[in-house]
Amino acid sequence: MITRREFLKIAAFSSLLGLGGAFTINALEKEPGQKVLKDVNALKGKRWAMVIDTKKFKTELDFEKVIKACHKAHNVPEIVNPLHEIKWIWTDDYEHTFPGTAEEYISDEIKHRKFLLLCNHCENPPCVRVCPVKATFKRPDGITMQDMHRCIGCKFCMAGCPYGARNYNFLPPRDYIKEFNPEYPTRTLGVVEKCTFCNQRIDKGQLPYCVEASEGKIIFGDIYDPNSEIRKVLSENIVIRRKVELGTQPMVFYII
Amino acid sequence: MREMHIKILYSWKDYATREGKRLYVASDGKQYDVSLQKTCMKCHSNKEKFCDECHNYVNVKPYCWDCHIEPKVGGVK
Repeated sequence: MITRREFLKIAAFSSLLGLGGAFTINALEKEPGQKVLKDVNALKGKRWAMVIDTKKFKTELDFEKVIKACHKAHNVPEIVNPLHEIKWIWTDDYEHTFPGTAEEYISDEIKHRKFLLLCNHCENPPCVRVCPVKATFKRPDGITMQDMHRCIGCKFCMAGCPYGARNYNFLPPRDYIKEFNPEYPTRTLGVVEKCTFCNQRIDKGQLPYCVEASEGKIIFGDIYDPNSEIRKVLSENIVIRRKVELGTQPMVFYII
Repeated sequence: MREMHIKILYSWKDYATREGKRLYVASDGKQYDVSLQKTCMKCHSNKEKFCDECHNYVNVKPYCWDCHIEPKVGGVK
């Protein structure tokens, strides 16, 4: 076993001799000869997006059902302290959901309405741009995904995300999970996590948990497909998005 | 497998998270879900015997179980 100091010394001297190339690690370690395929049932889309019909979310229970479905399935810890909390999907009021574009003289009902918030899976995601290790990246179908094995916990993405969708595991998450879902991993201390648009379910041909639990209040689909349901909903309703002025092109739309 | 399993696990992680490919076709045509928790540990369900015994002997300390949930003792969840 060599110490870190010795390793750095060896690396420094060998790079002087031009051996540095031997030390570089392949970004994607593909083992040849394996046959790994996409599921034939996988949902096919070029750009996944979501429409949340805020008019249909009336009671606390409506929100709770959706949030619980997601957090339970993904082993999201329940930490009360807002400094350390982890959330994949949560709620906030009108003013804080749409700062900058919130209308002062809009109806009281909307002012007091709650809005469901989650990662916006932006077309132009700042979190992906700032990640120094490419742990967070954009899938070809538009999902902003992260690779927990690569995350070094630098929190750049948290600073980059204008929506507060990312949370750092300041506390050991397993201590705060009441009931484990054995089908999904937990996270560990020192990594950043967020909503993944349930890509594991999309790859199997299922809709995200929140969409399923919302019973029609959330519409999910391929926004690049002109014949999709989501495009129909978007063309029939007036929708707003969060902080569009930043140019991130969020993919979560709100019907007001 | 004894020597190379970490490579297959790492490549599976990349296939699943980066490419969305989650179906492994073995050389005998059998299909498996690309998942440590849901596939490997379903059959190799005794972590102490299956993982720890070798890892302890060669003194390697992989951090798989910091995140992935190990099967309950006895195999059945």
